[in-house]
Amino acid sequence: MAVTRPVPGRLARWAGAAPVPVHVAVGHGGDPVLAQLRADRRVEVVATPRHATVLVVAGHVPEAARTALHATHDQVRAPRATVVVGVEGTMVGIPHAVSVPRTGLVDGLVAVQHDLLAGDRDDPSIGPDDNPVAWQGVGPHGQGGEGMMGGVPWGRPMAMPPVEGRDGLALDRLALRLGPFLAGLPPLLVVDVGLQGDVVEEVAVEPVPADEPPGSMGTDGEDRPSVVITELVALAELLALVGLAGMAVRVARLATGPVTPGDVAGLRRRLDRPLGLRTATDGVGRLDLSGRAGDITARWRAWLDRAAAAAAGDRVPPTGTLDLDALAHELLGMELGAALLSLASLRPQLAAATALPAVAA
Amino acid sequence: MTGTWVDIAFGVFAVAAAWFGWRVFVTDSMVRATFSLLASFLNVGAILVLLLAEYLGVAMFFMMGVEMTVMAIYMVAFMMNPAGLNPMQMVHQPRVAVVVGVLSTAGFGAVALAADLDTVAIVDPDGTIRALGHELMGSSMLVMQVVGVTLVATMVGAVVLSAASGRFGPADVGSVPPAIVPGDDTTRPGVDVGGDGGGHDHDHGHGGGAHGHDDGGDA
Amino acid sequence: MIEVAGAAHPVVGALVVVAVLALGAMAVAVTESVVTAHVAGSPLGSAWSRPWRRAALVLARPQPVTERPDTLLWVLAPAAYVGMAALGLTVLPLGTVWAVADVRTGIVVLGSAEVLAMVAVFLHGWAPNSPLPLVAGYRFVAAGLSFLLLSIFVLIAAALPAESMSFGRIVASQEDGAWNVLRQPLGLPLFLVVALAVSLHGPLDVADAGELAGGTTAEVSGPARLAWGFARRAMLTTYAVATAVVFLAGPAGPLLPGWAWLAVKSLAVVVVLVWIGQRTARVPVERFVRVAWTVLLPLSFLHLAIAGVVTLA
Repeated sequence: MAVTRPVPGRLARWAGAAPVPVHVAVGHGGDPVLAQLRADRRVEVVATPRHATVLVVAGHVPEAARTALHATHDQVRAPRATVVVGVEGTMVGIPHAVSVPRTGLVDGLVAVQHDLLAGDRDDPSIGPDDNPVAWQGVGPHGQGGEGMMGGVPWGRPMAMPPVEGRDGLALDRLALRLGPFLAGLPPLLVVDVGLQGDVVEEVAVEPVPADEPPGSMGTDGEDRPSVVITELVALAELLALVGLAGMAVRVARLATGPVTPGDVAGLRRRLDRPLGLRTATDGVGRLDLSGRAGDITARWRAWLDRAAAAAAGDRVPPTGTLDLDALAHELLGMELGAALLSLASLRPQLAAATALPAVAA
Repeated sequence: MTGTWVDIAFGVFAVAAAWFGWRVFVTDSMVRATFSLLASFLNVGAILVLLLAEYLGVAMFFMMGVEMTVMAIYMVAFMMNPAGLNPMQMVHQPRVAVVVGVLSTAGFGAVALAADLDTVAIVDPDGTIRALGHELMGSSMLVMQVVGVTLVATMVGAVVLSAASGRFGPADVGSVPPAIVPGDDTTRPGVDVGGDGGGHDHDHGHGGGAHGHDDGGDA
Repeated sequence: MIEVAGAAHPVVGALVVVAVLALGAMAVAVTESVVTAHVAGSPLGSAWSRPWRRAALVLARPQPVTERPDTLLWVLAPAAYVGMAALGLTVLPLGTVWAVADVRTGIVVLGSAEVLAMVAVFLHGWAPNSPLPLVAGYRFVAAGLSFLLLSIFVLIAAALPAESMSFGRIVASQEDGAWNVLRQPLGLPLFLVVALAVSLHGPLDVADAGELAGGTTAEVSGPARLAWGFARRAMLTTYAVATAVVFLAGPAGPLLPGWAWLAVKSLAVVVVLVWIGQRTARVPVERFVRVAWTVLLPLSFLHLAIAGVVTLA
């Protein structure tokens, strides 16, 4: 029985053979799933839920991020489906989600896409699709406010100039919340920015409070050094953000198999060229955090160093955590894209910061 | 045959130019108003091409495209919610504007219809036009070139001076917004004059009214 | 000596333009897929058909709704972008004696198409009324105001030896003398920068950037997304043809007919551009603007001056 109109025959045959576009909501310990999905040619990890047909929830999503997860769920256009890996959908508050074991993940995704195209499946929205703050039609022009003021749809504040205007002529400041499931950002990180044009004028970086992950999440349990996965997934995500899709797949594939120091050296040769990855990262995101100054290039070189050391069987010191207030201060004045890339370049440290259990009550 | 098509095309472009010009004032968004104006200019450019002023027409596409985009960017960046799509009124002093508009249209229309325009092709018997062309493109060329380079240098200089990372250090250090009433420092933006709370005052005072209004007027 | 004839019949011209853009966009899509698979170390076998399967899936998806979008401009933006690719193509000679409309002001028409393409990209970011696409629109205008000047100076330099702003004349001047790639060596890299930037490809795709969740496409899905993808590749096609015409003497060449030479040369340019795109990461927009104004623009002045001196000599 079809729940939506099926896609007509010929189109469905072609579409059914396309890679499944997935948006991955990454929780704690979700990196191996992310690498597995990026490495597989039957799947395409996309940049926004709008481009996806399936939402994949990878790893543990704490209680505090459920609302955001449900909003992300609703942003995938119907007909849509959600796949959770190794747990039941109820554990992330999406009871209709398809639960798939990690070993059969990609086969499961292909089957779900097939059902979607055949019209056999469509997940309902979780949240209501109405505005909690009535504003439309209010005011002399229906703009929701007085004079030239607009309303506050979804409680979002109007863009307003900051108090101190340079020469009395200030660009409006647009308040914006990014995360915790924005593609490429470190998992479970919420970034509140105030933008003037595309320049970050105000910023706060806040991890979603962690809760105790219940038992086995089914996303780990491999005896390979996880530092290799952490660093290589961070690199693959960075590559995807700066438009090097092919290299991102190559790195992700490396992260899913056994890694030798030679593999890492080969990767370094491909990336560490003036017109390679470095065009996006040299001199960008120069941060001075707890004594370790450097640009994004310095940070991804350090990932490769750590991955090589771990692959060689050496002991690698744990990733330090970060002073988030100091980080936020360093992001001020950056172009929005540069700020987001800077955060992506701190993925291992920020993942460590967000994974810390909340302060015991 | 060709003449008929040119007449039809002229009519279409002229009506479209006027219609888009009208849209500028009835739309409720700054960006829509700006690009309606652009569409109007594009139609005028097409009319110039029809009049065989090919370069002038195409150059109009070029220049108006850049100008209107820059104007739209300034308008959205100075007042966005989030992309400036919440409705707003795009006109100031509408009654005066209507009166002036009707009078000037009547004036130009009267000139166009009543004046006895010359329809004979100009033959340039004494070579005035040719001499003018030689003057502009010949001995005066150097002056033109110098003027052009000076204009470019001025634009680049303005960008350098206004950049936050100016060559004389951060450009915004020590800059103070001017007072709204000259000499009265209490009217300086950012100075809390007391009474109701500072933030609230800013939200409704100059944020919503003053500069938003000015931006709209430029359209 | 190549003589480009006058205007083609409008219907024939329109059909040719549509056919060239469609074939070109398909060639770009396949090249992208193959180069990406090669860089990823994936098997190349399925890379040929991958773009069509992805296109079919995108087509089968619905368009998202956002809060108070400008629906009309959202729909018109991809159409306008394709339209500008088509306008640019009309003034380029597509065969030995044939252009759709080889007007005297060819390079100004191409420049106008570039400016109006910038408007289309900005509107594509603005229309959904959503922050990240809007920021992407800002970025593109910042980049656009920088690369537009480059393209003007490079095209004027190419017009100098031809003593005409018509692309047909520019080809003819290369047939009589040397190809512009040899005569004006600085021009080709500068024009490739313009080609990548205006068509939102590779390291200069500042508008549809991954770090902004897809930039202007962040809220787009379904047929509109397919249209935008087509528009970008059509624009790359137009600029690849323009590069071949301005620097590689376009349809000129022995034995083969003119259109075949043009196709071969344009395809070579496409392969180079796509290859750059998969090897070089996206340039931060701030750096692009800075380099464009402080390095590339002075270089283009120098290029123009050299071209002038060489022409007079």
